[in-house]
Amino acid sequence: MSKLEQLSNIETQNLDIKNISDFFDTIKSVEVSDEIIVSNFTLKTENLRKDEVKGATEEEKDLILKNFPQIQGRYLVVPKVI
Amino acid sequence: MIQSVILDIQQKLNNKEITCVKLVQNKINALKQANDNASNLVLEQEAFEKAKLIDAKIARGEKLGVLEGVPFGVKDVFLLQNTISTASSNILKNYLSPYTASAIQKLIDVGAIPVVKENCDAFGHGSTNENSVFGAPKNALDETKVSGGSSGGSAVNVAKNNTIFSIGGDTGGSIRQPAGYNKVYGLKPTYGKVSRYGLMAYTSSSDCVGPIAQTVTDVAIVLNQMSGLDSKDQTTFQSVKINIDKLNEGIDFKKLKVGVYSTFINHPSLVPEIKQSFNQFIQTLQNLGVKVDYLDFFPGETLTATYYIIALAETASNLSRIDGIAYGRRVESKATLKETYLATRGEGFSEETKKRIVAGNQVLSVGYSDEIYKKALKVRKSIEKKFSDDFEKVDFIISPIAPITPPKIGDSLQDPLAMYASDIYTVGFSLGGLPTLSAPFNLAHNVQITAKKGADEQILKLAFALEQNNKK
Repeated sequence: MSKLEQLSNIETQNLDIKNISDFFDTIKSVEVSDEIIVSNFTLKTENLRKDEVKGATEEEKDLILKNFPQIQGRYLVVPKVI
Repeated sequence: MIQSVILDIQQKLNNKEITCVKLVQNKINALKQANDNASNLVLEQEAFEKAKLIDAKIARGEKLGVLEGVPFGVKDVFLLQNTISTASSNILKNYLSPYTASAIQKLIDVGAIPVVKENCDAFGHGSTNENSVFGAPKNALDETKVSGGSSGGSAVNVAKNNTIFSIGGDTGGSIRQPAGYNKVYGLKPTYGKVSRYGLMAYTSSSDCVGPIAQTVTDVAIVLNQMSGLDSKDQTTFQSVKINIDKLNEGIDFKKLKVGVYSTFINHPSLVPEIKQSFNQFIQTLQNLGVKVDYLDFFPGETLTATYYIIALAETASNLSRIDGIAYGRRVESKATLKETYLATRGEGFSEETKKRIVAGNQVLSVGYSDEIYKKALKVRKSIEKKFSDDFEKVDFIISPIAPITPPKIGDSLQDPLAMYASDIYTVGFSLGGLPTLSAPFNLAHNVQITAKKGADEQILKLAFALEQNNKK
């Protein structure tokens, strides 16, 4: 399995991403001014919601549990970690 | 064509010319009988319950609000509480939405009735809607052709009047291009105008929520209801409502300056049929007294490369959460956690989605991150700068939707690069976060009208003026 599949947590068969590398050649060849500085994606902070805990509703909790792939009694079953 | 399908329905409901139950029944029947792969799930029972409440209100002599009782469609990447939201993927085929997306909730709050979850490319990954476990929706105008993507099902349903309007998501053209392929209106609003909360994230830095509808006025009505600040999406901003009664004011054609990107219309992939239709649009504007300027812009290949590199990187990150542990279809037979991840995601994602995730992780990995990903971010900055400069010179930029006409179903799967290349006219405006309307007018092929950030209303006013002009 390739390093990229490991990084992506995806098992693939004959996945061909070579044609995407055309984009890499294109982007390398674009000239940009050295003055352009890329800052991190900035979020506005003037309209933050109140710092108070708001739990999920009972309906939301119920739906979240319904989505859980495997439940045994009161336990949520996950794959073996260690 | 009437000025507003929504206002027409409101009037008919208020005047008791039709009941809401009958209206919803008509839409549900049409959706179920369509045989066009446009709909993933018809919300029959829920819709009828809501329609009965509306009819009871009318019976009590109360007047309905603008969107009350209006049946609409929802692209299947939006969460709608207690309904299945699949993203047209295998891995989420049984995923039950725990809550409702903010934009959809705002429509429900004023009484609009969601009647269908609509087919799309899985997680928005595609431009033809062929990347879907539900099959490719058939184009509303020619069923041998693709619907466009990724909001293909939504555009088809609106074009057939099977929904009054539909809510799509547009990351690199996913509302505008299918709207164009099916000849309806589709708006990608300014980035941040409509909350993305509850929209399954593809490329968070360019994902937008917008309406697909049959008239300009309908686009404006739906946009008004969905837009505004949402504390659950920090990129949203306070938004002034568009005055629907004054859409006809403020456009003086003789004072307008419109830009056309020479690099777009001289691109070798642009087929003569679309070029001719676009030139006709330019001619119409000039006849009305609009000044049309030709401007230079980045080559189409630079735009698609920049967009896809950023989109791949962001989707690799966004979809890393879908691993079958807390939700989604988990492969249970594996011995370890890592093997479970590998098998679950390997089986659950489509080939196209896997390709985008793996390539996205490549873009972000050592050796590529600086040279490719960060370079793409720099190019994006210079694209944004160029837009700012251009909107000092012109009021609007107009462009075709795509260089090609809708391909036959099945053809694009053989040539994915051609599919990416067909996005050249839409992705640039996504990178800029600019509002852009896809509009049919009376042309053979839809056109895009783009304005500076926040000028969504101006676009709709221009489109309204052109729509009215067509009727003369």
